[in-house]
Amino acid sequence: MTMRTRSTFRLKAEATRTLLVLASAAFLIAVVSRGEAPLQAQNAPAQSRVTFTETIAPIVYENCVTCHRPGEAAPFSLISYDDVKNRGQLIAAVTGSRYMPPWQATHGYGDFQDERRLTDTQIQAIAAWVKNGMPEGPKAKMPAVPKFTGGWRLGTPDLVLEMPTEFEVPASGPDIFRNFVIPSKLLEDKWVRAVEFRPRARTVVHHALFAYVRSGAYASIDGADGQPGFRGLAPIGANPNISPAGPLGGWAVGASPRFLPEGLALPMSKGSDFVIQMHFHPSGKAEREKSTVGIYFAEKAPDRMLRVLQLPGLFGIGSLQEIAAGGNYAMERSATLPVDVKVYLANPHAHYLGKEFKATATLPDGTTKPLLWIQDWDFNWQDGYNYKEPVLLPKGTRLDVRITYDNTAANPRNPSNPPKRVWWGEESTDEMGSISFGLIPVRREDEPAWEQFATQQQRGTLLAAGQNGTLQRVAANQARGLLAAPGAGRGLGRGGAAASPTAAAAAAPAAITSTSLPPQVMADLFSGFGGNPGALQRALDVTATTIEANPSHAQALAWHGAATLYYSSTNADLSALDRIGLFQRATKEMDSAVGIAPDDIRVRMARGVVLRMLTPTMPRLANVPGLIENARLDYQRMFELQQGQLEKLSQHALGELLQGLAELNSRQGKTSDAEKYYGMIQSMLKGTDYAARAGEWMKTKQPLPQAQTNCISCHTGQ
Amino acid sequence: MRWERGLLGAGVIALLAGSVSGQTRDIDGRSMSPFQPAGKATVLLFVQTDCPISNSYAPEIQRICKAYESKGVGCSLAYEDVRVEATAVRKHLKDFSYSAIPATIDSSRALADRAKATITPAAVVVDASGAVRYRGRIDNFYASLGKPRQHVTEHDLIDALDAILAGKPVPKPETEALGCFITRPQPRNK
Repeated sequence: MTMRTRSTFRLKAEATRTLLVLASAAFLIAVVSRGEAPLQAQNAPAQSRVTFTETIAPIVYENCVTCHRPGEAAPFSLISYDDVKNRGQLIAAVTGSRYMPPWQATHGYGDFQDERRLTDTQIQAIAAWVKNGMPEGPKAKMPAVPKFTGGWRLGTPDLVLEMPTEFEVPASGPDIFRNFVIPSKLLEDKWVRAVEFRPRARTVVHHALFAYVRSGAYASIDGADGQPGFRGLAPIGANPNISPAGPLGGWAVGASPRFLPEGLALPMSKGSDFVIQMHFHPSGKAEREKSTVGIYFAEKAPDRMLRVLQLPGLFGIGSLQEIAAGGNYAMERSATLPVDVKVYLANPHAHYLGKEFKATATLPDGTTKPLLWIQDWDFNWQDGYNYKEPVLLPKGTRLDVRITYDNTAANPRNPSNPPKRVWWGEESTDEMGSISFGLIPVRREDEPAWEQFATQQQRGTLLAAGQNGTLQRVAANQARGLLAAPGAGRGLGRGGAAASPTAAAAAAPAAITSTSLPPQVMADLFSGFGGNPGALQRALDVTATTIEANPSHAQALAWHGAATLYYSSTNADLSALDRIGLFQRATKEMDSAVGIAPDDIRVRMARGVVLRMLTPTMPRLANVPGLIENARLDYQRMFELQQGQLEKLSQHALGELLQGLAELNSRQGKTSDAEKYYGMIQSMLKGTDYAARAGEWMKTKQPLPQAQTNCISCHTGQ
Repeated sequence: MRWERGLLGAGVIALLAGSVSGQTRDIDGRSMSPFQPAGKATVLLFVQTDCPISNSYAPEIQRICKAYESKGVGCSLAYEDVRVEATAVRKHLKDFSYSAIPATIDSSRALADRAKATITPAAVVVDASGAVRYRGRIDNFYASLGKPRQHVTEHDLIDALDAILAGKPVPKPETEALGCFITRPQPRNK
């Protein structure tokens, strides 16, 4: 895996981009004059003796020609004496400013593999050589030109995938982020040890991220704009309904492909689609890209899983607050490790406004270990940082991460001019921020403790995201985006990309219908709530098909939304962001159904029941009080619609109605209203379980422990 | 190589002679006088075939030259590669869609010297009187090497042309160009 790229462990892909000014004359003089001082390193030749063959060629061959050679990403070759001499002034300037070789992390703050860095002595030698007229030196001393294998650097891959069609990168214009889908045709589930990436148009391909998604997950948007793939830098896997899916690493200019450490491997499901998200940087000349990837599989499942600790969690969704236009902003987050861990890598992420990343570990004995420090974040260098040796951090170690943002007009990378207020989000004009640490607990028996810790962290993050309003903003943005998305109006069925029908419904109020769904759908749904996945899937399929035919079918929307919410809340395989995405869609569908048909009891019932049932066990979801209020309004409306004929209702229907209304009022602290409805149960449903429960409530007048809705026992359709 | 040096020397002499009048020939042998504009001004654009920043400006150079052609502004490209042959320049012109702009290989650096250009890409604007009115970057897309802006906020070349056409002083007659150095021919140093 190109473990170099931070994408390897981007949770994003599971669910959801200092340089110094070109050396001025003064700077060059400074470098040169330093070069005139005696060179101190023991092996440094006296500056008058600095020649190409003896000193410069070894530096260039070791540090530059991986990229600066014919057919590679860098603009010019630096193989021959003439090549280097012709660029001498430029090389002295860009090495003196440390723009080249490119490496964002601060030297010495963490000890990383493949650090691309020249020593001060090497930089001084280059400056001295240029100043002295760039002598060639004795030809006999010329080192051999490094050999680069033309083929796969990790050996013959187990699976080679190629983009089915070329993508044209225009000569000019803004950078392009585009995703390409390649069917893997895998016949069985596999474990991926490495992905080697071979772009064709190397001058324009800046970096690539890899993931696998369920077959066909992006079928409705792939190629929809007339070109291969689909646009967007939203992390692959951001859309709900693509599971199974997961990240598979990435590649950036200059990166060496690597196998994951310690026999670790990432899962890739059979039949899945391989997705490449590429960042193109137009070069002035139109290019056509058709990349190839080689995938290396492990023979068996790894016995340990690489764990990810993200700080702040989920790319900062719970921590990043408003970044004021024209201002600077800092975000800090800490976590204390529950067990001893070995940290293998640190992958930073922010968008264009990100400025500084700093991560430090403070051990229980008070000593500190530097983990990562980037002083001038550059979205265009999507590097990951792998420690030379795993960093051992004992239980009780505190990790501190600080990320700063520059939203002033003076930041040339600011995507908005003049600067705009910025929130957390997936677009390039939004921001994110986190460092993902890839680690494993030292002891296998600590895995459950880690699991528990990770769940708590994620729960805390989502809770914070709900409280700070980010989830609600993201949902609103997604809804706006879906209005324009191709394929909008498709439901959550089997296959096909999901898009909220909400938008279509909102756009077509004239076509309001509230024809009834077959009774079997309601039975299936309740049976699904009772733990029958087949019935739940049937309910999802029927309602999705109905919505497809009629996007403003209120009952279908309401029941599809209810089923989706249940699915998102109970499916343990979903990633956190998938869960959020489904949650948002589900609530929108139900809300839109209520908007279309506020007096349809079955619409009210779908939303009211599912919210009443799930809110107590979903503390991690956003705006729980708002959901409870919606549920109460639904029960209230059902009650109003049936007032005057309550006596005609079955004991079950009346019991559920009154008990729901009473319970929700009680949970909202509306004790007198709760008392009224529990009182009605006691008088109208004497001798039933409902009355017994009402009696129990009367003793304390506090919300009872979660009352399982009894609908499940009545609706057991298989 | 001896013959190579001899050839280079001959070229230097020939072009030094030309530089007195600022005249040169384009790659097809036609006479070029970038310092004596036929119209209201000439933009002399210093470029290199293998400088990424220079190349990335190709579409913008073409856009500006096309937009100002009807206003009496001519453009010329001066290739400042250390060594480049006409066939390679023709290929570069084709690859980067420079179809309508005359190009010359400034191997002696006569044009660069006269225009005091040290970086590619750079623009030098000469007005009808033959005076150099602007020298520097095309715009501020690059804040520094490797640090492109999301938004260009200063269009220095366009501002200079507009000022000259309006008969006004150029607001910033000199700006710092960012890109690759123009190297002067020098003898091989053993």
